[in-house]
Amino acid sequence: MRTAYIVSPLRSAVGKAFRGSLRSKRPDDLCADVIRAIIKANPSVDPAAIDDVFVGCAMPEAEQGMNVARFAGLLSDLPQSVGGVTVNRFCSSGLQTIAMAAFQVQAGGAECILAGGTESMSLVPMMGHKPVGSRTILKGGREDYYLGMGLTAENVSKDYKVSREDQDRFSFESHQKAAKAIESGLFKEEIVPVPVSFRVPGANGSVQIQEGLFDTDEGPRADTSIEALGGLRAAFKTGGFVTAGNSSQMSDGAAMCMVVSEDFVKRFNLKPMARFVSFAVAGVPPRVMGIGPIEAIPRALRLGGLTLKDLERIELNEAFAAQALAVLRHLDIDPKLVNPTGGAIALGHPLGATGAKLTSTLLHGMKRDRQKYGLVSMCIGTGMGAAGVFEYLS
Amino acid sequence: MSLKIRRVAVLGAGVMGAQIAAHLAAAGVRTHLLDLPSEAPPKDPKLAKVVGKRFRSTNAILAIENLKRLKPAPLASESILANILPGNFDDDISVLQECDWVIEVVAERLDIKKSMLKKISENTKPHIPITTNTSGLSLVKMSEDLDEYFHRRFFGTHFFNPPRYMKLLEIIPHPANDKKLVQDLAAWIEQNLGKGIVYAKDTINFIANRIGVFNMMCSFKHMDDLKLSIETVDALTGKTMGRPSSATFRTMDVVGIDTFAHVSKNVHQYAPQDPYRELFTPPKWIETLIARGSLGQKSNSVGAYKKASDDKGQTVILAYRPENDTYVEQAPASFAWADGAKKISNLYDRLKFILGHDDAGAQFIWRTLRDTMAYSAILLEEIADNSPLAIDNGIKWGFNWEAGPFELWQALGFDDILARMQKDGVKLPAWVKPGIKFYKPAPNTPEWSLTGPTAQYLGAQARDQGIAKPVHSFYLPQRQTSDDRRVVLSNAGASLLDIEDGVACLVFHTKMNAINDDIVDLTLKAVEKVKSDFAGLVIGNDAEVFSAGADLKQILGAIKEQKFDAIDSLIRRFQGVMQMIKYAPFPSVSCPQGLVLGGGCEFSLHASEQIIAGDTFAGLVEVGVGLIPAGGGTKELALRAYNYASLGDNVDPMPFLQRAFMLIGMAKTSTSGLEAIEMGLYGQKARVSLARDFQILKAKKRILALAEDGYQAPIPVTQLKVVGDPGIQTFNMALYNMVQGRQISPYDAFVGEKVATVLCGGEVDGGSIVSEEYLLELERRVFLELCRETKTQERIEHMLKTGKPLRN
Repeated sequence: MRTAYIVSPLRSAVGKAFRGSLRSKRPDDLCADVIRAIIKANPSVDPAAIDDVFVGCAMPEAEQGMNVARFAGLLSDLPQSVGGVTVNRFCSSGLQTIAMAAFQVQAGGAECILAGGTESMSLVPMMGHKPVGSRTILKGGREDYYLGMGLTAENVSKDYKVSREDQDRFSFESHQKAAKAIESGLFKEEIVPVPVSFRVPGANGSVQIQEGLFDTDEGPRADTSIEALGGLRAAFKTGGFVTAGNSSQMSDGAAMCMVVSEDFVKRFNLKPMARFVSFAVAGVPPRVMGIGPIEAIPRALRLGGLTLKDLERIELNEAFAAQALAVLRHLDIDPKLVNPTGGAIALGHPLGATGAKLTSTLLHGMKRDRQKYGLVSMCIGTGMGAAGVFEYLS
Repeated sequence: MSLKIRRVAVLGAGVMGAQIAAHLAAAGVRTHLLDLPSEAPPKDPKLAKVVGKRFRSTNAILAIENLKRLKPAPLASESILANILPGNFDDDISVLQECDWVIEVVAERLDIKKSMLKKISENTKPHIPITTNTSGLSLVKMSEDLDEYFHRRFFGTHFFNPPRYMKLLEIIPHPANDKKLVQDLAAWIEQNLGKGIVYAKDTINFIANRIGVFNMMCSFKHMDDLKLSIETVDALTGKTMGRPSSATFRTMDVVGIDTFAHVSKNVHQYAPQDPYRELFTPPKWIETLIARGSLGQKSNSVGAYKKASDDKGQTVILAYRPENDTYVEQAPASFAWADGAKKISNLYDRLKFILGHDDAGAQFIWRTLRDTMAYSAILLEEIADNSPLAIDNGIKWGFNWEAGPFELWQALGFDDILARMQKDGVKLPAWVKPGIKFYKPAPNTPEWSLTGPTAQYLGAQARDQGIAKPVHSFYLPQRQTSDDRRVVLSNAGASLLDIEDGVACLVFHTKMNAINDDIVDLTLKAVEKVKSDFAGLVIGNDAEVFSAGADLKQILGAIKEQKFDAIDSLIRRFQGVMQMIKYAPFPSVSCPQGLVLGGGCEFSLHASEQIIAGDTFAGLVEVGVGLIPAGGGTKELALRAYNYASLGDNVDPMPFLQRAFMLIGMAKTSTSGLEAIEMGLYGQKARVSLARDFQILKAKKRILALAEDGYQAPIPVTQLKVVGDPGIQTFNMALYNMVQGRQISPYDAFVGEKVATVLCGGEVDGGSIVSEEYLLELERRVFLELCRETKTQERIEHMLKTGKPLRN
């Protein structure tokens, strides 16, 4: 089997949904910005040699409908001969595309695929604009397929006995780590500054165009405290534990990378950042979707011929503090290895982009800290988990 | 009426000024609210953000912001805020040039008032009314530096707090006024702001506060003499005496003990001739509370009462004990007559019954009534120009008493009361002699209920004066009557009246105007009658509530006897009547006001149009008793949702149905007429009128206009494309999550699905075509299914027993 390499895993900064800097930025434009930066970072590559563009998106409709991958490719001025496909595995879509690209390269079906994800939660709501219930599900005793994400976190919190205090502390630490990372400029290398513009009503029927460059994650709050988090009300269940403060934030963002073969590396004289090791998905009961990684992580490690002990760094998506803690405790993972620069509770969770975004953050972190094996893990709505393992190439 | 008031300036953005502005805004008037200019932005960054660049007008902007938080809510809806334009006295004084009325509400200090009036006189159009909302200062003194042109148009308009809810507005004319201008503004206020006007003389505290505060002060004295506790006095002076349940001390706590003391001291200081002057010095314990800062609600609810927690952490309301300066658990005294009195619904009969007793409670009631009647008689000439009606209306509209002192005196037996007063050695003015009749016809008689007072006795002038029938008053009967010649049809539950000019009025008169068989029967006949003999139909009444809903007792009775066929035919008939009104060849206008719930709300929905009173608490609240609106209410909201979606191409009706679902499924009730429209209960043909008194008149005029224009009945809905089962399942998806999140009970979700079933047009394929009739069939089917459920039966029983919904 051939080897698949990861080149230039880059991302946009993550904006707060609805009131943040990316609130009116279209997800196809945003994804195109990141693709353009990747092309620019690899001037030796002939864009016409790129085989395809895989873009993950959790709610692929409206501004991110119409096969957003194809539009992102066209908008980034890739040759029109390069195709595009949108992939949906909800929150793990951005990791799924990287894995699919790697498998295609490994199988000899492609030499270079741009893979990642994009999502605007500002423009397209979770569940999309028109959710429609199914009689088969709702009248067939399968209602829990439709259980809201927050309520699945309540179930995990109960089943795995994760206390409110622990959830709030975990969240507080996520904010602290993220704020410190931003202050130290740790994300500078992985972030692609993107142009943003707002068209606001001006005087006499005119339109004022306010332009700027967006390059810093907006979510982290250095000033939050355990007390402040402890004072928040349960957001999903009366008397519950899961609050807006110990859940991931709704966000906008995009992240992409180049997945290439050894031949491609040689042909264009590239310096790959990592080797794709393995990837696995596993299903779990939808009512506790957040525990998905408990099944997926060991499976991915097994496929890569590794054990937990081999891992030096983990980006475990913090959909909810409750599920993140349940996963860490159940798998007995050393918390020090996990999310050293903060997670989605602080930095945000642009659904379909997050898997690729965490890959970018993982690899750049491994580069800084000279680590070898790292893992990205996601929990997925309707009860799934995914994990991808990477080897950093020094 | 020649005045056109389209733009008003309210000067002074205190709590009163801002609330007056809010009321004007709700009436559709563009209102400038000005206050002192600020030199710098507020220091608090949050406030600075609210104020933005307009920091010079910080006071007015923050006063407007504060309207969102005040209780009871001064805003009919936040949407009316756009009608309030903040500004300041320096930069925005030129807006006065565009205003049709200027109301001064600045601080109650003569020098401040004087300089503000001067500023106003220099900046307004020449002939517009300029009024002051002073509650005590002399108008003549306030305007003494200004010329006769100013005096012509300057008078007092004294709003009562809270101005949205209190009906009273005292007008205090200036001796040099242009009388026509005053009358024109009064008429405009009545018709547009819904206020009741009382003319008062320029005397200290004017009419209502003078009498109302006196009543409280004499309560203090008799409470002390008779050794009654605070909570006992409140038990005596609330509903028992036909007054608000906040009675004496709870009212004082709400108003603020300091405010109350200030108003009473005002009398003591400025009315040296007042025969009861000494009573206006607040008792020592009141001074103690004020000195300590225990002013009532605004001081963390410590005043005459104190909110505290008991051992179990439950909130308890303790009562003050003046004798040893402590708060203790409430222990209202009980009186032998209390149970008997409770059973007497007529105020006058109840008071007569109580006054036949002689314990401390009955004595207290007698003495405070006696003193208040005597005091009103003594001041009749001085404050009210000899008009008993002015004092009675003032106290009824300003303090929410069911009857004023003169009405009470006459109805309780003038001579008997007089004799008892004389026995007690009460001083009275010389004109008070046996045989006086303050009003003709006498209060509490059938004649009075037909016409209201047609003449009043002008005390010191010792003569009767005619009272013109107000143009808007219809005196609609509140029970079945044979005295009313206007009655065309009638039974125990409802009457059809000929209200002239070819318009008929359907009036309910059951308890709480609950919809029962009688009302449905009469409506059936009424529709036929109106078809043949009238131009159109007003549906409205003069009661406190339009209708509290369907008669649940009847439904529960039928369920208990397993007579589901009877329920089916009951619903069928109700639906039939609603459809007859909707599709009648004549126009109908309903007049929702007060409570408009359940079946009552459905009644109002099926009229061609609605004129909704400002204070309207309307909702389709059937799910509270485990049922759904099945008198066409669910169907009407569904039709409207589909209709809105049909205005666009390929528009999904679901978001519109969701709005309807929230209204019915969550039993949402409006807090104002405007909100009833904005939340989607009423459609585009509904309009709000703040003037409750003019509602029937406006409805009648509307009928005549519609009939004149050639009214066309709506076209029947036969081809309705519904969302069907996928829609129901989408609602189920949300309901399931709400149950899991413990926001609703599983039975709430069960009932919710039934609501969704009707809204979505049944468990059919999406896009199926159904008729309006099919939706009505669904309503009936679902209603009967729910009637068979034990939990629905429990909900109905609980509601009948406690008046509150059961969440089972």
